[in-house]
Amino acid sequence: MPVALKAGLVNNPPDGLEGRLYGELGRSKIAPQGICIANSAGKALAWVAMFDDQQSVLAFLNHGLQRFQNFPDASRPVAAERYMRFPSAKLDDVQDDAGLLTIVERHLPGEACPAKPPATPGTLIVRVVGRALDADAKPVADTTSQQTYVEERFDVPLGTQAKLVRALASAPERRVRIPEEFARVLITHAYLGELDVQPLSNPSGGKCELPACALWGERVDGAVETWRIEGTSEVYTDQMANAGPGDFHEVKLTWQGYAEVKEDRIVRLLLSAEGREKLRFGTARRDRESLVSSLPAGRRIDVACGVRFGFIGAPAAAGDWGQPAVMLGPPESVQDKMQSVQRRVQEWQRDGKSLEPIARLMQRFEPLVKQGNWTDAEGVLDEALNLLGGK
Amino acid sequence: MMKRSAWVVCLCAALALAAEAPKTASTPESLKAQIEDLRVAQVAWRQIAWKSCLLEGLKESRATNKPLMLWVFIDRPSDDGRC
Repeated sequence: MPVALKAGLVNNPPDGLEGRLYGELGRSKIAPQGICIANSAGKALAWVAMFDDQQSVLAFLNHGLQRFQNFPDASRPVAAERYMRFPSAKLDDVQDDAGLLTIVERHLPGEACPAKPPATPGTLIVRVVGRALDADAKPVADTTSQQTYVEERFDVPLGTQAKLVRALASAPERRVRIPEEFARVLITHAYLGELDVQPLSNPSGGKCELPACALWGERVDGAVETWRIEGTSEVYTDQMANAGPGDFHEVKLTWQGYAEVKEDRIVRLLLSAEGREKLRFGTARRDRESLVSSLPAGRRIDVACGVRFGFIGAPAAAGDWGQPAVMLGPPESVQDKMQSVQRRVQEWQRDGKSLEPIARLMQRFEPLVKQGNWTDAEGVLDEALNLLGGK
Repeated sequence: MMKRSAWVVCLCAALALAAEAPKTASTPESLKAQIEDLRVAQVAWRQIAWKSCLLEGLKESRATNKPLMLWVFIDRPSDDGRC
């Protein structure tokens, strides 16, 4: 029974009975991410982070099946086995001392699954397909590796959409520069390879250069709400998560497409980007290292090839899942300003000043946060800080 | 002779660039068709019917008497393909 769990829920379990199930699994984990065989009572039977070789993967699954046959349910306690590398590097077992867990059959009516929070209405859900191209500029057939084939999904929040629509509407008779905030969202997701090599917003927090980011919008003749988008982008970083010396990532693309807008939202986005990508990742490692022997750090990649990406975006529909809450956190600048506001509010309280004007102002803040509209939310914080007398 | 070689190099470079240039889509529908062509219909890893709800997984484990194989992964949307 394959189940993909979000690391955030295992590492920071939510409240309630379901949270206890997540917490029990997380109690014996080896690392924030990993693979685990569990029984029907939600007890971990065996954790693994890496494997000795390809054959060890099947051996681990057989081992897990054997343990399940011995400990299928909560009828007797079972210790969680843990392998940093299966089967050669076994860690200490974690004893089963948490007792019986209450089994919850399903979510209550109206209660969202924490793994599948409902998408914010109006959020643009964009699906991306990326292909490596061969010497004849034809897509490479291999779809088993992210260095040749990727599928991804990302969301464009309401605030970023509104910024784009405002920019387009500002000069309907001529070409308009696409706001960098919107362009960066697109460029961030137009790459081959795993998450660790993502240009812009890399998980390492490392610096990334954006030497070219010039996307333009021009109204399509006779179509009031359709804009043609064209332009070029170039992105480069040598600071990627789990990268080593000599590693870098460069993506140069030419973009074309269409955005259909209505009021302050995008109702359809169609984009194609084509160009070249150079990626060196983990190149200091041995070339013939087994792929399953270094799972947490990703695989060695050394490619330079043509690439083509396609983006199709549509507003979230009823039943669509949103980003997990952990991804909707405010940007650093907003976090800093929130802390400054809190600090100044405490000072005002100490000084006995009336907080009513601030409370009134901050009523606008919460709905913007719920929408993920960080741009306007930051504007409210700026107003609050002005009112409170600066940072 | 040098000049001719330079021209040949330039011509080859221009041809190579032309081969790589993206096809211009004259309408949204033609572009949509181009984009959809990029997605491969039958991809081996998409055949794995991953569940993302722990409660559903446990319920099915009890019903089928099979263990859960949990993949604890980074916090991306449940239907994202990148890892």
